[in-house]
Amino acid sequence: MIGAFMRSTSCRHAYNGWLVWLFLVFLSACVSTQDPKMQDPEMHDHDAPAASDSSMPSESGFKLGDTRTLNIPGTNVSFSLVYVPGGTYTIGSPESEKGRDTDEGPAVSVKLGGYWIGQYEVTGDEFSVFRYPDRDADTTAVPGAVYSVDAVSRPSPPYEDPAFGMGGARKPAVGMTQWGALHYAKWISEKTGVFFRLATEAEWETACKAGTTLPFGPGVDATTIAEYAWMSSNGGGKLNEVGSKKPNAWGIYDLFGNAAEWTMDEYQADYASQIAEMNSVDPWIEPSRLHPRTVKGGSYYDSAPQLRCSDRLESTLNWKRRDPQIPKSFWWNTDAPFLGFRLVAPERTLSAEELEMFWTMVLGE
Amino acid sequence: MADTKPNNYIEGISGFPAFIELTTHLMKTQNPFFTTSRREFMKAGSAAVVGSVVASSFPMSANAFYSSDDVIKIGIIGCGGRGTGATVQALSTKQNIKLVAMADAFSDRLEESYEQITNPDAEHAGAVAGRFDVPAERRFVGFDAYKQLIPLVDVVLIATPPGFRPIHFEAAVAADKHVFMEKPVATDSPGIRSVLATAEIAKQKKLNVVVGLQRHYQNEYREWVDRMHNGMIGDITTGRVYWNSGGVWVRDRAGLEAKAGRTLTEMEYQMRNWYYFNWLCGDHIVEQHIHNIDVGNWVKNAYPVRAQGQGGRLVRTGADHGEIFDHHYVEYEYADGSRMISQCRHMPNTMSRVTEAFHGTKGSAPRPGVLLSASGETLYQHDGRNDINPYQVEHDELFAAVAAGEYKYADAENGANATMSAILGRMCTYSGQLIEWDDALNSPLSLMPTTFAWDAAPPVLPNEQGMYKIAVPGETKVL
Repeated sequence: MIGAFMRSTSCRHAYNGWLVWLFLVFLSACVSTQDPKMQDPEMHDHDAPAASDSSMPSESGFKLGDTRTLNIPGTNVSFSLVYVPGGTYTIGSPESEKGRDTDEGPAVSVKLGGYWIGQYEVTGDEFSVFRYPDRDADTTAVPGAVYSVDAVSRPSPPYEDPAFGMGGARKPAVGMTQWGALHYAKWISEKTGVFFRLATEAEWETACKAGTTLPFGPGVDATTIAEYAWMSSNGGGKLNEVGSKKPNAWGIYDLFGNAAEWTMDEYQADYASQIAEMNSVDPWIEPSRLHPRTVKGGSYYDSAPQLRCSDRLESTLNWKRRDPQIPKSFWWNTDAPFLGFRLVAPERTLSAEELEMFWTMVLGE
Repeated sequence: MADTKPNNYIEGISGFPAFIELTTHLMKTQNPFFTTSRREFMKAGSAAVVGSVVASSFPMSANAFYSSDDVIKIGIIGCGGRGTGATVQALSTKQNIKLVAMADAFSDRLEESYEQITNPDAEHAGAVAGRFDVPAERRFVGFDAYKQLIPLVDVVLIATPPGFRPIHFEAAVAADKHVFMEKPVATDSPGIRSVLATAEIAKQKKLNVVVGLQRHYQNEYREWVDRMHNGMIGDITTGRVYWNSGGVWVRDRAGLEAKAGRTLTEMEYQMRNWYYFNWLCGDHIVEQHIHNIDVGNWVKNAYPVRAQGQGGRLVRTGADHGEIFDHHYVEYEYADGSRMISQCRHMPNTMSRVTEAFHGTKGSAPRPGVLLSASGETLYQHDGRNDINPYQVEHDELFAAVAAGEYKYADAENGANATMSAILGRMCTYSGQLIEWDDALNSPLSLMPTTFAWDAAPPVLPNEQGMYKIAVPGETKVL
């Protein structure tokens, strides 16, 4: 696996066996159960997905729909995660699916390890702890580790407001490049002691479809999507507070609409065929170029077809077009106020050495 | 329009056309450096130089006098990140363009810029390939670098700190060059009056001038403002304009001196950390918020007649923050009695808002690209996701006009008045007074140094603690 990190000539491979770094130890240390949504029985009261055995407890004892809230050490900011058990799921849309684009198929089986996925998109409140050093504190949940506010690589001041004035504490954080989003994941990993990254396309789509092969997962269709999504018909052309629409069948909010979301993968038009051929656990198209990378979920700009779980958007240099300077900002897109991200903490752990290699690889540093 | 050559087209540029002194008295007095080339003769906006006869004899659109393989030569004055960006955008247009000279106060900034422009791995590498030829002898450094650059080019790009703009613009127009210059175009009233006077000369000479108020070149704004001009939301009674953000870079003295390995002169320090000194920057209400104030004027088709406001510095108060405020709030009044409320702030951790909004007698414009009726119904919504880069449009349009021998762009006057609007706001927040436009515009108060040299004293100096004098409302004189 380490070898795989080092293969710079290989543009894609599976990365197997990601583990949450000391996850169990620190999850118990960081977890609070104060989030009222965690107690919401409806969130846990759903049928087990047909496509996997995910109703069974995982090795770690977690089961589908388990929800945990983590505090960002040294702050009063918290965020919630939902557990998705490992298993075999189906992603990609069938040709019969209404509104389907050709880059979505064929529908293929994918094997995933268990993972925790952000219940909400990362919010302005969370991102600002990272963005502004004076909101951060010299504290970490990693025993023995020295965390210094001054040593963190943080976003440079953006030229204009990347959120076009639509941002807010409870709105999705938006406008960062995928590199910026990955830096946030590295930072929150160092703060909490839990290995976080972005979702792979396969993880994202699985969470969205909630283990089914339905376009919007169970209980949601094109006629009811507006109850679940801030979209072109109801979003007022802007970002809205996270969690202010209904969650999907697994209790995850704003997968449909509001802000679109970065994934870890390079965009390939024949993605489904490629990962089927890989036939590995946690498949990932490792980026070999800056664009295009895959964006999922649609945004407040979009209507039902673009909000389907299998719909895919290609990132583009055009999202940085109004950056007046050269070199352009690594951190910010000037023209992507519709684009944020969601964290994933894979269940299986990585050694400290592997983690370092991982960040070196994905951040190119 | 001239044929477009492939980007790697590099034919025939082994040196510059020889400059000769023309014997015609008129030409000699107005333009001592003039090329023998007929193409240059036409392209440099020569109508005024040789009088109206030429202008009326040859239609401006006639480009038969120079062949399609003629290169439009450009030079950049001010090689920071923005100057580098502007240069790449100029080189990325469809016209046959070559960067032949660069100028900056600092050699290291110039060299970094050249590396960025010519970086074979950059996203723009394909677009600019073969379009630069800047040997060491055409890289000019120092306060007077612009004087060496201007004669060598057809179009001058100016992206220095704004305090220098009036000087460089005047020199470029005096030499009959087309100009792209960044905003703002001055930092004080004498500078504004200079730019207005130069703008008038550029107009007479039919020299194209584009100013980097790029919202004017952005579809979302063009479509939005057009509809307001056409009355879609009635008469505009109120504007609200904002540049509230976390602030910009700081180049601290200790870091600069560590990098240089020596003590900097005060002039060198201020030139490096220019954002925080008013003679160079004008304060952030001028340097950044001008964009939003300009949109307010554009929507109103007018400039303010008076203003009052308040401001100060609460968060950004260190020695390396020079003399500028970190927040301003200004209420502008137009001749028809309507108002524009302006806010700008540079404070981390505060609400970010960089936008404009308007209220009319029949509806509102809550943000760029959106118009609503009085009852809240959407009258217009622009989806700007696929709009092209307005910074690129500025150059596409300017260089298309230059290549075609057309006179189409005269942005300098609005650029000066937009800048003056922002300076008026700063005068109000620094003084705490109600100030009339005419009094502001005619103020003799200059912020500029009398001598430009590395060992010369800048107009503001630190005290023993390294701190600079900050304006105090009620005490500070601004007119």
